[in-house]
This record gives sequence, C-alpha cells and structure tokens, in this order.
Amino acid sequence: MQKIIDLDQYNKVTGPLSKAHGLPGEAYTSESFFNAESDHLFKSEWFPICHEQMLVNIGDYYTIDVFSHKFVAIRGTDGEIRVMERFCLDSGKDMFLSSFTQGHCEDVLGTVLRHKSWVYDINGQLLMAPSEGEDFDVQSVSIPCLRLETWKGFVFLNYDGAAESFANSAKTLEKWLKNYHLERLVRLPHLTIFEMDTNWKIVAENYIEAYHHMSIHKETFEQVSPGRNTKVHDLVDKTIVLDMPIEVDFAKALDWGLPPIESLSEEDLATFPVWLVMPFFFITSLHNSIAWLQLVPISATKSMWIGHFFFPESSYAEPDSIKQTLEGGVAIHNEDMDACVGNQKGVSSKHFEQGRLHPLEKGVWLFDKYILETMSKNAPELVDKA
Amino acid sequence: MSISSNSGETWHRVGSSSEVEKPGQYLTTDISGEPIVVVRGNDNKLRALSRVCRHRGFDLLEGALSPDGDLHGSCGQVKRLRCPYHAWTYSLEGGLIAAPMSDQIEGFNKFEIALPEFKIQTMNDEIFISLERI
Repeated sequence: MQKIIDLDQYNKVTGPLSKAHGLPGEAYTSESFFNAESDHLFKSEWFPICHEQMLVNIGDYYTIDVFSHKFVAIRGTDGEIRVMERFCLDSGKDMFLSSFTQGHCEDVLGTVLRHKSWVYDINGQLLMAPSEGEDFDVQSVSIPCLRLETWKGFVFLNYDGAAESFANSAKTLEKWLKNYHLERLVRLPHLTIFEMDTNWKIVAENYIEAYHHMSIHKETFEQVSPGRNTKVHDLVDKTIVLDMPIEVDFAKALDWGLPPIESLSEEDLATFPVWLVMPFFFITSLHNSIAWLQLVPISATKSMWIGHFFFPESSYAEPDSIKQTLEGGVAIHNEDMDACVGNQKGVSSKHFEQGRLHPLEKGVWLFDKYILETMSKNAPELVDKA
Repeated sequence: MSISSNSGETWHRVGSSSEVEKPGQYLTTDISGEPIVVVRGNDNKLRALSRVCRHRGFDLLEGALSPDGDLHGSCGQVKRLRCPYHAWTYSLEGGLIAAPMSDQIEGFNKFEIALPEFKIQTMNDEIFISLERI
C-alpha cells in the first residue's frame, strides 16, 4: 500500500491545537491520498446519501457519485429505500444516464436499456438475463443493497457495514436541533448544485472555521456575527459545533425574507450555528430554515456542493421570500466558493508547507485530525514512519 | 520563453522591468503551475516571490493568468501583499508583517515566516526567473 503522509507531517496535524498545523498540500491534490480516503475513510463512515423526502413514491430515485462509486438510492416496491451501486452485474455498465439526478423508474431499474442486457426490478432483483441459457436461475441474482440508517429523514450509507449507529454520533446535534422539529420541515424540491474544482476538504475546512469571516465576508456575514467571537465547542460524539453569536438582528441585517422558525428559543436565535457530524454530514441553520450542504468528493481536485433546504410548510405560501432566503445564502456561499478556488491553487504549489492554525480554526484542526487518525487507524501503513 | 543555462537551470522570461519600475509594482506569473509574483520592494530591489500564503496556502493575488494563458496576465501596484482569505499580510520584500489576532497563536513569531523567494535576473530590460529558491 502506498504511503500518503510522513510521520512528521502527521504529527503536525494531530498534535495539540496550540501547536497545530494544517494538512500538507498532497492531501488536497494527490489521487493516491484521495483513493486512500475512499478506501479507509468513506467506506468505514456514514455518508449522507439522500433525504426521504427526495424519494416519496415507489420507484423514485436519486443518482449520486461519491469518491469512485456510482450509487442509486431508490424506493422499492415494499416502500423501503435501498442504495445500490448502479452497474449491471453482467456488463458492468452504468444503468442510469446521469449522476446527481432525481427521477422515477416504473418497474425496471435504470434509465438505459441495452441490447441483451440484464434487467432488474427496482429492488435490484434480476428479472431477465437474455444472454444466459434457459437453466439460468434469475431469482438467485440480485444487486447487493448497502447498509443504511435513517436519522430525522436523512438517509446515511455505510459501505463496509461495520460502523456504529449514526444516531450515536449525532446526539449532540440532536440536542441542538431540538427546537427546529426537523420532522415538520419540508424539503424544497430543488437541488442547488455547485461543481467545484477543489478538493472536498478545502470546502469542508472553509465551512468549519470563522477566522476568514473578517476578510472574505467582511461586508456580509461579519456584520452580523463577527468571526472573532465564534466559539468552537470541544468534539462531543463526532460533532463539531461552530457557535457564532449574533450581534445585531439577524433577520433585519441580512433581510432573508422569512421570519425565524416559530419554535426557536431566544437562545437558538442568539447564535448562527454550523454543525458537522464527522466527517461528511454538514448542516446549518438559517433560522428560517435548515440547510443540509451535501459535500460530495468526486476526485482529488473536484467536488460537488449540493444545497438541500428545509422550510416550515407555511413558508411555501411565500415563494418570493423563499427565493430571497436562497439568494441571501447563495451570495455568502459564493464568497466562500471563490475563496476555495484560490485555496486550491495555493495548496497545489510545490513550495506550500503546512501552516500554523489559529485557535479560531479549531474546527479545521478537529476535522483534519479526525481524517488522518481515522485513516491511519484503518490502515496504519499509510503513515510513513521511516 | 524559457532558456536553459550552462548549469542546467531553466530561466523563464516573465516580463520587462519597465512594468515594475516603482516600489509595489508587481506582475504575476504561473510557471509549471507555480504561482509567482515579481515585485519591486521598498528597497528598490526586484524579487520573485511565491504567491502562496504560508498560513493555509491561498493564492495571494488571484487571477494570475489572463484568459489566453499569457504568462504575465496580471500586474498592478500594492503597498503590501495581503492574503484575501485570512488577511495574513506580507511586506513587498516577502516577510510576514501581520496576521489577525496572531497573539493568540502560541509561540508564533512572524519574523520567522516569509514567502519563498526565487532567483531573478534582468537582461536588456527583460526579467527572467528560475524556480530555484534563494
């Protein structure tokens, strides 16, 4: 197995926060590092693949590519959601035309029917195998379904089937979200997709620190919640919490069109919280809604950032206000995305060295440390101890 | 244009010195994917510095390449080099002069932090740089 980091670099990241450094450049640019993440991080963790509200009816599907895998999440004939790799067990070909697409299959799995190709039902059970002889037992073949756990409507995938329950990792988040009553919120039936020419960790690191607010968001979010006041909580369960106190009336300052969710307490409204359940579940509050930011690693230097928004049902009576909220959120998001592009370019330099992190970047430290420690626990040989 | 010297070093022509006559005037270039800024310091000396911030690795002067990929697609004049991401700020000579709230970073010594510097030569008003560090 190829080593992806030397011991000195590893120790700089995993040491105490007071001496912490960021990841080396190769972590953001190397396909070897990316492949190691696929094998030794993604497979052992919970990845949020879709939300139940995306698959309301039998046959509704969502295609998504994660690391080097192509998945389809689909609601089967028994009403259960299944997630499968979407290649034919015979031809090895993708049975769907496109990725990151929502659609509907009637009786047959897939949107591409090839001459003499095997045909499966929407539960993954083989129905017909025209290329095989008459004695071939189609009933004995089905596409393996991967392990799932549904939490508050979010559907998580664990590829190797051995992870501890996601709910155990999300107890802290559950407490924070208590007043949001997620089960009452309705998902906006629309995917807001950003294709990024950056490594997924560049985007993640941007999301979990507020040290950049005073420069990147100087005219926007910094006016509402100065980055210097941000509190990054210690890691509890597997949840990073950025607690960003609000200094002015949030709704008035950013004018996001809709009032806060009624059930929120004064304490909820006093902060703009950002949560990450390690290492893939990014969720935040806009006060009038919840945003799940589905960050999808595609290659060493490509990722997708898909916004899913959840509003109280009553908000849908005011579509212009919903649009206003989305535009407000996307404007801040775009400031971050420009930053991520500049960051990717810099870390690609041969002369980039791991830099010292500021205490306000505690979230970056927790995240980077978690990534390296998890990978080295799963595959100790990834760290060059020579 | 690139020229190989007898020592095997490759020198890249990046512009003319008339473009960077005054302190703070700069031009940016990317050589083999390496983001570089050529800048005249307050000491009137011309330097080729890495454009990569020593903090999180941000391109200090985004938009270096012109759309046609011209090597020196961006130029201008600055008083200092300020990273757009977290506002770490470098002098025109490449040394770190400020980082927000750096007093909170244990053992932080800004005088130990500087942008990598590369070899530079001018001949007949033309500027050449090599990717060898000084």
